[in-house]
Amino acid sequence: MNTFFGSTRTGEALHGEHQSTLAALDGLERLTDRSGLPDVSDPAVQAALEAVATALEDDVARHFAFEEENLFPLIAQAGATFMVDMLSGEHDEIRPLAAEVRDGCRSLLAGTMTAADWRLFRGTAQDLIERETFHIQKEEMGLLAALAQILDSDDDAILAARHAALRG
Amino acid sequence: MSVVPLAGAEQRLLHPLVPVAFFGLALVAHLALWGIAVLFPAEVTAVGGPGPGLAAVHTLTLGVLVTTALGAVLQILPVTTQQTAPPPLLGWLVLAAVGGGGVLLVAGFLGFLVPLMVAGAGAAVVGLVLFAVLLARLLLRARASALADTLPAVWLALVCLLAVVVLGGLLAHDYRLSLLPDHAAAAATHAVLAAYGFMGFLVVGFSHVLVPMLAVAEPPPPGSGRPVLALAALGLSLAAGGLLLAVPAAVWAGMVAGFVAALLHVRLMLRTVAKRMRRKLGLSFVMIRASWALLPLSIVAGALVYAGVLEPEPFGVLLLPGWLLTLLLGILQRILPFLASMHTVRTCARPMSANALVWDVPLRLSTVCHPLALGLLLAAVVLALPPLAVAAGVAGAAGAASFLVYGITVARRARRHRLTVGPKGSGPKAAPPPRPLPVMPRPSESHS
Repeated sequence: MNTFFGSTRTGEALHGEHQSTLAALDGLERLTDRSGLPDVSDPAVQAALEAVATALEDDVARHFAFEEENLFPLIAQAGATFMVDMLSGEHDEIRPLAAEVRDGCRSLLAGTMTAADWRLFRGTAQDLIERETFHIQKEEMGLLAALAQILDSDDDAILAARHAALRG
Repeated sequence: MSVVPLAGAEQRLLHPLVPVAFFGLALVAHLALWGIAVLFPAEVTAVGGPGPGLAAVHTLTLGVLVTTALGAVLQILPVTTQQTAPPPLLGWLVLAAVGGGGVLLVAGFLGFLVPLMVAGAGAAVVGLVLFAVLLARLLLRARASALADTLPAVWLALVCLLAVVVLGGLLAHDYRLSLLPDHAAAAATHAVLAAYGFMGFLVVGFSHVLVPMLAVAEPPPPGSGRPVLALAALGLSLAAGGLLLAVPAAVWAGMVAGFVAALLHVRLMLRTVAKRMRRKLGLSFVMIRASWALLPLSIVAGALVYAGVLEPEPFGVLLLPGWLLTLLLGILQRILPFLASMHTVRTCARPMSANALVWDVPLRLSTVCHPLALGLLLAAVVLALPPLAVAAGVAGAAGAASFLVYGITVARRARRHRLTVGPKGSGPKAAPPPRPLPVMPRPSESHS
């Protein structure tokens, strides 16, 4: 999507995280399509759950914080307060869902999830997938295009370096 | 890459009551449509008029399809082309004239009352002309925006709308003045231009924006819809001209071009959806995908009617409650919460996402009832069995009532949210100042 929605180094880094989050969410959706508890002894299931938990911890928590601290204020200053309000509001709604699903993944991996927990978990996971996917699309179409307009190459390099430092 | 004006997004939204009124009227007319089928099953399964059959057709076309299209275009075009939305008063005038005119026209058809038909058609013509002026203004101002397929499609829709309006006015007056040499040919041309022209070009144009947005997919490459538009415009000109002037070769050539255009459009949409970010498409795409099958099918049915091997009623069912209504229900179920969510960003202390506004139980019911009603109505007209039209009406009314409940739920949830969190500016949250970027030292590497 990067070619259509503009290219900055910061945008490319965010785009990469979006792609990895989407891949993890796809794995989560395949798991939650099943009505019964998945077999956590299956290495593929374990890998999918680990990927989701990591994505929600890294790509959601850190990604959101990076945007809110570094990008949203710049974009609001450029006049796009509507976009910032919308994306910040979605962050606020997604965060608790992401935490709940991340904890659910850990519980599944530890073998402590019951069938009743699984039913609840599936509903929460599907809600999260719906919201996060739509949110990512809005960021790809709005945020990344806006970054290409407000960042000069030096500021872009600084922000990309800051983003890379957060990833460790 | 297009340049996105960052400031002023709030001004691109109409006052929330305007789209609510347009869509609300459409949802009520949807219920009324199926009510007419229950009350007048024999008449709605036969072409011709005036009478309840034409009343049902215009309840669907003017009441549901056109009303939704006008509300959606007045809202979506300013957002997608980054312009200030039209003033609410003009929106209200369009709605009053088209909606009020539609009610008079339908009442005139139902009661065989020519003065009401003429008055209704006249009011609808005034409303549609006003809409055409607003649309032309938006399109002229949108010339610089990067919607390579949507804008030409909407221009073509506008041209068709003007032709539909002229023919519609002449048809209504023809009941008392005998203006037209061939009323049936003019009516057929009016129907083709309205359905495939005005509505069809809007569908093709806005599909390039809405389908990728709803499927969470990359939009088709700019310009990829141009062959569809060129073929559809050629086909429609030939078919409409051929029908009006009784030139069968032109009608046949028009239908072939239209059919190829329909297939190309559907192929482009399927390719777009295939590149989506998420596998599951949800209930809306059950309807949208069904409509993609019904579009070319309706053209085939139209060709069979023209060849004299099929009665016109199945063609009408496949075209209006089939292709167009099915697509509209699929799109509208996603647009309603999306628009409501955008208004919460503008008006509430804290925004609410579109997902949180959705209650999917009535949607599931509607997704079952609408195809059932469509199937029953098709069977009723093919088998000439009015009792099946009653059953279609009951199923359709159940689906329409469900959809109305869904729409009301979206509005109620958005309103309740505003009452809960308070109006914009009342919340504790304030945007933090930008985190300063270091001035020195600058990285020396150039960015990619």
